[in-house]
Amino acid sequence: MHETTAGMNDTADENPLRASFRDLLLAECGPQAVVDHAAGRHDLIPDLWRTITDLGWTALGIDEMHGGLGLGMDAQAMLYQELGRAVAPLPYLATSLAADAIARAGDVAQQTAWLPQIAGGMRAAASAPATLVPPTLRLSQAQGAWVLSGRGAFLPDAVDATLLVLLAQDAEGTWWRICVEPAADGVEVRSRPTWDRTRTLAEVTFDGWRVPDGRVMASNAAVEDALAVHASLALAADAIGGADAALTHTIDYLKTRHQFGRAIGSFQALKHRVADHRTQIVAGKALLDAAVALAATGDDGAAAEASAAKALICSNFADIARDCIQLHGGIGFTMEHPIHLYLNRARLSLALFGARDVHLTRANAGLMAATA
Amino acid sequence: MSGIDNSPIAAAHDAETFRAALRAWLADAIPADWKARIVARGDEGYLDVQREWYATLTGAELATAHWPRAWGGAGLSLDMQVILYEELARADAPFADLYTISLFHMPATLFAHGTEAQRQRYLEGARIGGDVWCQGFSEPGAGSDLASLRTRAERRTTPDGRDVYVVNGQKVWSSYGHHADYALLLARTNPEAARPHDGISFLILDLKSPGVTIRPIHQITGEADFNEMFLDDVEVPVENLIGAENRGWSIAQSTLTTERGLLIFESSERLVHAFARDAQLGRDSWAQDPAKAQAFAAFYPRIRALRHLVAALLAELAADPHGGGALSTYIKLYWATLLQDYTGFLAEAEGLEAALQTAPLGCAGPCTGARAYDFLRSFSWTISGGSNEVMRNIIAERLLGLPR
Repeated sequence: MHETTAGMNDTADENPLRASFRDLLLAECGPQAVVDHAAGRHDLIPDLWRTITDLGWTALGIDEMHGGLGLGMDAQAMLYQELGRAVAPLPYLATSLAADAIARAGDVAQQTAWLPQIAGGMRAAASAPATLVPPTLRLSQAQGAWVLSGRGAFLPDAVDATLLVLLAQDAEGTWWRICVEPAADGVEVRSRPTWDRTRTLAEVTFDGWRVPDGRVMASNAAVEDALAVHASLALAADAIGGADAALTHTIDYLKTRHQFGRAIGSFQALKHRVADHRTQIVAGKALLDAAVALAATGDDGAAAEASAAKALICSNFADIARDCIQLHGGIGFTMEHPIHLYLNRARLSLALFGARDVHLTRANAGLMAATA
Repeated sequence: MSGIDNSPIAAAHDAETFRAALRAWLADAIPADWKARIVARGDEGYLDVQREWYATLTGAELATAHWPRAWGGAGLSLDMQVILYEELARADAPFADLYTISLFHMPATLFAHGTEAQRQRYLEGARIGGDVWCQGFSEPGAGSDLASLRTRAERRTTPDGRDVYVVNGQKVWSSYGHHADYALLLARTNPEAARPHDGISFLILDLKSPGVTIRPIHQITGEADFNEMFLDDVEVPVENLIGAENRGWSIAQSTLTTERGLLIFESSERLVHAFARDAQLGRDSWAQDPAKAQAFAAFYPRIRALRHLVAALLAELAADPHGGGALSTYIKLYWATLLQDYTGFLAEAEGLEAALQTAPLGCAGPCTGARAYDFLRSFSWTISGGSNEVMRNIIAERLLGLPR
């Protein structure tokens, strides 16, 4: 059972859906293309987004009655893993989370208004789930209309989105999701460049902005918790794919790079680090698969397991990616080599949608409830 | 106390029925005072509890539940075995560790490579006679590099016409050797083989044979679980050869693989229960320090990951009884590291309390609650049965293809 360049999941009996994700990304979103994207030489997103829309990826998790494919979290988790493996600079997670928020919080009219468009390739973005990151926008009523104020910081991949599904809180502490088109008057989306050049963060500010009719959706803890499971699993899956790819590239390098007259991969000091990293990935993958299965069946334990996966796997990915640069030596420290893409993506994932302490608390809440 | 009549095995046709039957049976069968007896009477109490518990388990067909029916086992499916180990862990039953080799490695080896006569004799001896088995693998000069072992077995015909191997050498780290009746022995039969692996044979050694001297070694907890074994002109009948001469290495490898996989399952289940108990205990003491509470919480995802890893291994084994080799290597390394981190963390969290000596509690699983004792014992997982470093070499070279 030797490793191949494609990594641990490259087996003959592989899921055909996963294989189709991987093959397309390998062809259209290879390491050099992402390096060019990251260096600002060629924007990879427009053409690739069109391609994946044509392939139905943007319709994957959307209900069939709204023009989607209606596939569950198990299928989506495979795509998130492959996007992570390719360090793809696609705004897929942001768009998919926004669609999920509308599907869960919106009424039929709102769902009908937006979901078919998202399935058809419209880009969207969403605020972090409220149970992971408390809302900062305020919603109030003035003269019979909804009014939005405040600053929403760190919106992932919102810069070029056509629709934002923002989170706000009213004076009573109730949570709301609000559909906002950045093109509208009075909406300002400011890009905040990130070290992770495969994703973006943006900030949106409102000062008593009047929300157009039909754009407000009531949310609650159940809705936000379901979105938290989605967000946690997406980042954990992305991290497994990313860690697997980064380590596989590194192992290839250790086999081919010669110093002192031998492949540096023959040195035990390096071998043992790589063995530990691979062990963490194998264990993380087992946890991810179990957490995805719980989410796909709507099990009560899904929230705790998804957070356990997010906390462990994103943390392991950051550690592994860090060591992968070190194992590459000087070449790993250059912009032209793809290995840094994984480190910066890992570091952003570590902080995004709730840091490790937030997720450990959620993971343990399930256990504490069971043993109290 | 219990016989086959009221054995939960009768309920093993359905998962939930079997689980309920086991729970009811275990509630009655586990001696209430078993830990107290070991604490009060040390090694003697430990032996008592082991023998009594083994008799109880075999009486209910549970000790050999995983053996085929033809050999006096219950032929339990892997799914049902999982339930059995889950319930043993949940009930905090004594760990039948004195009989580990008798119940797992010896039968696994004989089912795959033994002769009919060997199976007849030794399987019944373990199941009914309560024979204790140990391993004679490592040597003072052959630990991680086991294939360099030097104990010699020379085939000879004695003056009275018996065909025997005459064995000379020294073995070390034989767990429970001082209580054992037999050893699975690796010895060199062909010192001229091109590769050292190709000159090793696998023998059954009767420890009552003349020339065998066993000397206990005290480990860092003060207990003497393992032993040195000196072999001076020990005669082993040739019918005690397992498999073909000089093919012992690959047979022993399959034995070690068993150890790396399934045996971790019950221990990992005990860790899951210990974590829940420790969370409760910590709430009123060390976990009131937020930094410690946070560090403790970080173990939870690792324990979940381990549990799912083991589940994946069991699924692989259900599909192919000889599979799971790669996974069980990852599991050994992940489990041993996790257990040592966890027990070490708790020993530190409890502060000076954990510096106070406690009485050894040998068969209470990996997390007895005596923090420093558990931590010290965790080295048995990071070193024995292939050290963490050997596991890393196997992963790097055999699984990831890095050059030697």
